Amino acid sequence: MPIENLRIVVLASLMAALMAVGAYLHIPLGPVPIVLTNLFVLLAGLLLGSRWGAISTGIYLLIGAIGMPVFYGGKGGLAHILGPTGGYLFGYVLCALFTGFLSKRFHYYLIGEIIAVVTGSLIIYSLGVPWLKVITNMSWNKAFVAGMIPFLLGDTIKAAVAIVLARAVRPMLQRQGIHK
Amino acid sequence: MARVVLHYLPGNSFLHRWDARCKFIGFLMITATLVQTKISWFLFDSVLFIGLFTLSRIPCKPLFKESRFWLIFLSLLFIFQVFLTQGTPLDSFSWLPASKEGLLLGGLTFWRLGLILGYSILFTAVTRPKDLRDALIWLFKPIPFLPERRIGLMVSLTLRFFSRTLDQAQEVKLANKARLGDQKKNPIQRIKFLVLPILRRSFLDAEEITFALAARGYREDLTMPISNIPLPHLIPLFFLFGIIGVIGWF
Repeated sequence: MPIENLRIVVLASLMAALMAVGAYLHIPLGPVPIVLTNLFVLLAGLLLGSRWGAISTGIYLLIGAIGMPVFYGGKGGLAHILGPTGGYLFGYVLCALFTGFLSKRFHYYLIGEIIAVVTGSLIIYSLGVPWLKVITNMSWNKAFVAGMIPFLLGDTIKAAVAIVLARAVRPMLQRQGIHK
Repeated sequence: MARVVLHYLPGNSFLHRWDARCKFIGFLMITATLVQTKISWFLFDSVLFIGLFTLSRIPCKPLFKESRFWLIFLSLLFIFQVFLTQGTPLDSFSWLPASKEGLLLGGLTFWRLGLILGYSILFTAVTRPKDLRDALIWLFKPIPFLPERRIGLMVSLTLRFFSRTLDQAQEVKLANKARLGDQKKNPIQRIKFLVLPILRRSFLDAEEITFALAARGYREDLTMPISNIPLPHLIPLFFLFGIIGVIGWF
């Protein structure tokens, strides 16, 4: 296997591990603490591109599905994926896919990356909120209040940090030949 | 810290020798029972865990010592649920802003997450990463168009990185605290100064692993003989399935 392919496989595994670690890292901010998993999902899309970003997120979900405690709150197991927050977890895969696609499409310009992370974050909610509504039989209003509004401030911060970090780390990956 | 937890600990117990595919299926069955809210499931899983832990003969002292991080995390979750769940106040401690419902919910969450964590630690401690990878390859082989070898490699690498990065995160957190980095008001800077060093260290680690794999000539196109599961290894699995079936029935 060529070393370039091997490197991207290892980096995708690393990003999956960072997503798992993100579930254990909290930054207290107001009543809802910021959990860093989706920061690493956005980063996976920005740094590895759409395909490998999505694969990396898929591996994270697989490890959670087999029962390892890698989801928020040290949870794991297939039931958690199919539970009320499962939509957000599946949304992660699409988020990495679209974030990677859009940032490449905009040639990694700042404005393009902002559009990419905003779209990526919204994709998580576009899958997570309807899923939450269907599983818990909530009204749309309640689903938005419980599953989206309290997290918007934290997500804005995470999106901003994802861009800052991607721009700081990308030169390192360019030297390794991941980004052309 | 996670230096010992979620790592393979060599040994020669029955659990170490048990076929990784059977262990994996058993682990999946047990985690499925942990979704239930009945106390009988929790009791069964706890007794089974103590039995399996004793059987595995893995050293408990360093394992418990290094699980402090998770214990603190679980305790915080417990405290949040006790104090933030509304309900009837406690009779003997009416001055405490806690409720009976919160205490019950917090206790059950602590118990359940503790068991999930315990089984995960036990499973990784008695299963070599290579065997886990082979078990996943065996599981994914019948599914067409899936690169089962690559998935197996990625899962074992992710588990390795997970425990290592948790360690690094703790070290960076402490270093950040020593430099009063946790006192910064700007949340973007706080996250940046926490995550950037973790990322830099992790990327260097990843590069080392890439070279190590390349140096050992890692290939995906070699045929891999997968043997059938020996019958004696299936017996404990059927036994576990039977007990779970009986408890589920009643």
